[in-house]
Amino acid sequence: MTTAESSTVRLEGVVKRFNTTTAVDNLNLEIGKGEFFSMLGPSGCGKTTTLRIIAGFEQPDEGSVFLEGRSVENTPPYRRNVNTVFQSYALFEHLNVWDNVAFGLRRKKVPEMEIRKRVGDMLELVRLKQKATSKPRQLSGGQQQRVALGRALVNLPAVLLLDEPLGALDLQLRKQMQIELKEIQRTVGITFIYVTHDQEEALTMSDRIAVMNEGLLQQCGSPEEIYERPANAFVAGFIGISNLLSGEVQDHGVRLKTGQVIPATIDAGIAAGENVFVCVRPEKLRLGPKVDGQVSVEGTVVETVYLGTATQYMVELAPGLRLVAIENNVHTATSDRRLARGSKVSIGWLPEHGRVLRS
Amino acid sequence: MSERPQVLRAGSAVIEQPRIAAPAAQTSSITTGRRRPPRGFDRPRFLPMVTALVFIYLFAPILVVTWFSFNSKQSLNVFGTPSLKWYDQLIHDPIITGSLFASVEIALVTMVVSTVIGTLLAFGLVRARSRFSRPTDILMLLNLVSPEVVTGVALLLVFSEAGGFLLQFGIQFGLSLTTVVLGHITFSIAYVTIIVRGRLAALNREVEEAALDLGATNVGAMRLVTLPLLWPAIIASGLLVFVMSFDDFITSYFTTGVGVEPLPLRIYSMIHFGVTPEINAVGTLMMVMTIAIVLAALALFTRQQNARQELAFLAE
Repeated sequence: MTTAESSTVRLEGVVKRFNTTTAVDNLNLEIGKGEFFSMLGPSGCGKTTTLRIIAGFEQPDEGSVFLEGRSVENTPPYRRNVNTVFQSYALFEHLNVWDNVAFGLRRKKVPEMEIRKRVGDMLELVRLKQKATSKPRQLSGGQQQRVALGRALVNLPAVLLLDEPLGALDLQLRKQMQIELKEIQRTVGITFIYVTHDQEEALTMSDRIAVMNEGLLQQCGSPEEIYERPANAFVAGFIGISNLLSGEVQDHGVRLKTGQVIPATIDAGIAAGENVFVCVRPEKLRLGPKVDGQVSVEGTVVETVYLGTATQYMVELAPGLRLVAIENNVHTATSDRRLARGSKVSIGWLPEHGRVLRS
Repeated sequence: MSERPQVLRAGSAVIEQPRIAAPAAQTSSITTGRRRPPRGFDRPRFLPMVTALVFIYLFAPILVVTWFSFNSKQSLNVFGTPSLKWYDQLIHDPIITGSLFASVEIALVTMVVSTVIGTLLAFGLVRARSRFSRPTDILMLLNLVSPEVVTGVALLLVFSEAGGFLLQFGIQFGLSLTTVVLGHITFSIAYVTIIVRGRLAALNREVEEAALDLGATNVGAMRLVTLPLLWPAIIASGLLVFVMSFDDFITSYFTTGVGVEPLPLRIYSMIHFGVTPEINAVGTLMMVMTIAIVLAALALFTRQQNARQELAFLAE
């Protein structure tokens, strides 16, 4: 654990139960100042509950929450230096854009002159200066989203909590807003805690990602760590496409169902005879004759999918044991250069790209 | 949100315009700017006639009353010349004006008291996660559907029992305009609760959380966010209660004491001595007041489009 000053949010052993289900189970997190931190997981994994605990809308059953080094156990939401961008935006329909954004500052009795300046600057930042007198329902989805963002950010909170803020937008607008959000975060330097179920969104925007499932923290690390070195089969399967080849640990390798033993690095905690998965990312696979120093397996192409920039092959090693390989369309730009269905092929990868995960 | 289906569409409610227009009609709609189905297509000719007949059936009696209230003659079937003489006679009749003011007073007090109680009950039913919510809900609806004659008689019995009981302590409590108000409140609360509850249930909880998140206390969130969003429903339900109390007969009949009668009772007693054109004038005045209030409620709703669901209830 680092010192208290450097972390903006710290969760220690937080547990939250609803009736019989445990929404959040013994969660420990430490989020630094100015960090863009994402919480990623399927719906019901406890990420939104965690956010609501930090905001103060839910009380943890066990454990404690620290904001800027201080425990906030009995602090109501309106006294926490934290603001939220809600999934539904939750704009005040009866107030115009300006009054929506000024709401927080007025509650804090900020002088009217300063309010005018800060709200004006904020509307500039979120590009809504012209819409100041519009009511929320006169705005498009993307504009409403920016009002919600401005309304929270104008208070300059220690932490901004975002609950799937782009979930309601269409794909193109979402891509654009991802870039804008990241830029705004860099400009204001405020800690963002970003809840999403979209792994691509988390990978592109975050400094660090916490992957959650069924209330439990699965892995916490940089996008690269999460993608390249997934801690377990859930993380490997949830983020990106993964090939999970089941097998059994042998000395210095894994025996696949085909009987072949492939070399792999086995972590110290995994004993011989254990059932494991070998996880390899599709873009790490190389189709073609065996090269020295590579792991190589033989199979039959069962599906070829042209993706534009790349070609995706589905290769069957044995019944029920398949690999997905992705090859950039450099030499295979024309169809006669690509492998047809039914062709025999060998697939190779570097031993360090195959991660052995407990099943 | 803007694509919410309109629940009540004035005028066009009876004849449904065909949605699909022929290509020819569509091109013409670009030039004229109006979408109009081609003649004789998917639109039986007799429909407008049926509609007209229904409207005549609905409004003819009201029109007759209004028309004859301007009659110079005493007759109810021969029209002389247009005249305001019955209105003149009406406003110089202290008994009728007394009844009118009594009715307005009853309706106003009933409106204020039952709006407050009904709104609080709506909050309780929607927000309190209590095991009493469901039974309370059912009791409230029971009150709404129970025959008014029965509740009227019951109220009469309760008030006379209460009068006898209070007399032991030297307190006079007889049937009066106060008991009429108490009676009206009993049937009005449910209407307010149903209308406000609908709006409250549709209210996104996150909006109130956003207010708390932005530094408003619980009371502040209620004052600055929840109530402003509920106002149209609260006011509309209040106006509905006003109208219902204003023309209520049955409950008033059982709970009025001696002295000034509410207007509907007054009209009823007048009829005992024959229908006079003066009654036509009173009826016309009551109708104008009621329609004005309903129009005010409608205007409130159209301004707050989100509250349209409640109109479905008003329309029933």
